[in-house]
Amino acid sequence: MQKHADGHARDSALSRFDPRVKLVCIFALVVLISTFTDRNALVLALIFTIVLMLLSRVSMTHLLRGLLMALPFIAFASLTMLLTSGAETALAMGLRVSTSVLLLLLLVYTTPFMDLLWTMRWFKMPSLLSDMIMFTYRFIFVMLDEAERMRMARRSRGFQGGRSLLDREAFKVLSNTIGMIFIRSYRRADRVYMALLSRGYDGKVRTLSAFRVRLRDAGLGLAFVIIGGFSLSQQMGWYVWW
Amino acid sequence: MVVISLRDVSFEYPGHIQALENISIELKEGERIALIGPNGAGKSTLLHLMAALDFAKQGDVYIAGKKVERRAAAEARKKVGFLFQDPDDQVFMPSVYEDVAFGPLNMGLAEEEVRERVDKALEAVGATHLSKRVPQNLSLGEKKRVAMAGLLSMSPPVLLLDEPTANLDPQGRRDLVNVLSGLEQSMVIATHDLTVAFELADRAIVLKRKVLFDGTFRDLMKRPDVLKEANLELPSFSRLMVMYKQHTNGDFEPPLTVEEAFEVLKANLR
Repeated sequence: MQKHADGHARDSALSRFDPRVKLVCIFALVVLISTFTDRNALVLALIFTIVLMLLSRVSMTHLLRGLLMALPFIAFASLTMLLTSGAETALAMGLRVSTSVLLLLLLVYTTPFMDLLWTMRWFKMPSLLSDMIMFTYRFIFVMLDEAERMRMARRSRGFQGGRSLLDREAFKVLSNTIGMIFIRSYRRADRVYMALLSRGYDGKVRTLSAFRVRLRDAGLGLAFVIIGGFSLSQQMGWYVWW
Repeated sequence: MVVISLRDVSFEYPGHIQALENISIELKEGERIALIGPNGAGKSTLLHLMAALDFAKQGDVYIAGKKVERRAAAEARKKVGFLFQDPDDQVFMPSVYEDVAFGPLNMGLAEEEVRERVDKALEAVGATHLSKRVPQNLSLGEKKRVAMAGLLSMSPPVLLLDEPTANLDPQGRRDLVNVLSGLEQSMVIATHDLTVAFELADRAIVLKRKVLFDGTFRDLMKRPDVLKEANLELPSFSRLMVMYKQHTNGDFEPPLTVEEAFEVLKANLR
């Protein structure tokens, strides 16, 4: 399951770029886009995002599925704008949010989770928080595997699941299962902590420096600066591109 | 030189569950001890005490001549590498390479030296090809090898191994035994697999809350009372040779390996 979660990220063409550069560029563009009201500026930013999507070779289905999850919020925000400020503003809102969501999805789908975490640590995210997230990510798949084994064990002994949420017997079995998973997680956490201590853990997870900014990262940064600049000039009316 | 020493150590879990009673053991430099006993005998508990992961309320534990105390436990743990029974408890970093580097980084070594140690450790266990892999996707045997590499990268003088071959298939067991045989560290191996114990260790300590036996394997094989009390079963070839010796009134030392048994049979059947 962990392989599936990071599989897209590792296979993508954009995964070769330094995640710090990607994070800064994408966040900067998202912040910039959030100030735009001009339709043409937003369309320019969206076109750039779509080009990045195509270059990244992340599956369109995968990206659009992610966008679909944000769709209710986009629709709600746009509808509110439509009713209060008119169609032009609603369209701008829709474009702003959609482009921002697509950019953030691109960041997540082209960067392995742990690389993202190390990047945020590099940007001084509290180590306690990042360590907790790291261990949660590492062991959630172990717990899911255990839950799956327990599910198969239940089925092998004739448990079919309840007909509805009100099925008391099924509810009892499932709640016992959840309880067991918590107990096993607690015990595992204890053992993992001992393993950490046995290898010199002193409260800080140290890592080897894995990232190096290369020329291609500067190229990516420059592309973002250029698009940001064009979009901004369109927004400010300094130069109308079309 | 004595590297680990326990003097009159007793240990009780909450709820008055007595795990160990009056244990006195010494591990000398270069020695390999097999800690043998049934489930619940206290093997893992004893290893935890030796690794300064738990602390005895009665008796004293010494590592490299220094008494183990809670406030100085971190220092004591640097001398000992502990292999947990479940490698999922021990392999916790996002990639194999980072996991093996975890220990040396905590030792404060320079990055270049860390990378050198990691490469050497992975090579020693035959896991260089796994370095970029995600630990969760490895097989049990592969995880055990990576866990072992994580210890070796720290170069501890003593290794404590908790059921190292548990749940491994025959090839996995053979691979791990081969790796362990080639190491120079002093070792304590907790196991109830006597075949592995015979291959890896020179001395046997049979444990069932107390020390029932402490000596060589050949002497242990002459003690069916101890084997019975500890619910231990000799490997098939050993049982065969015991029966053969009784049947022929033979005068030979109990063999510890299949090869030795073959030599005995060859000599006696001429």
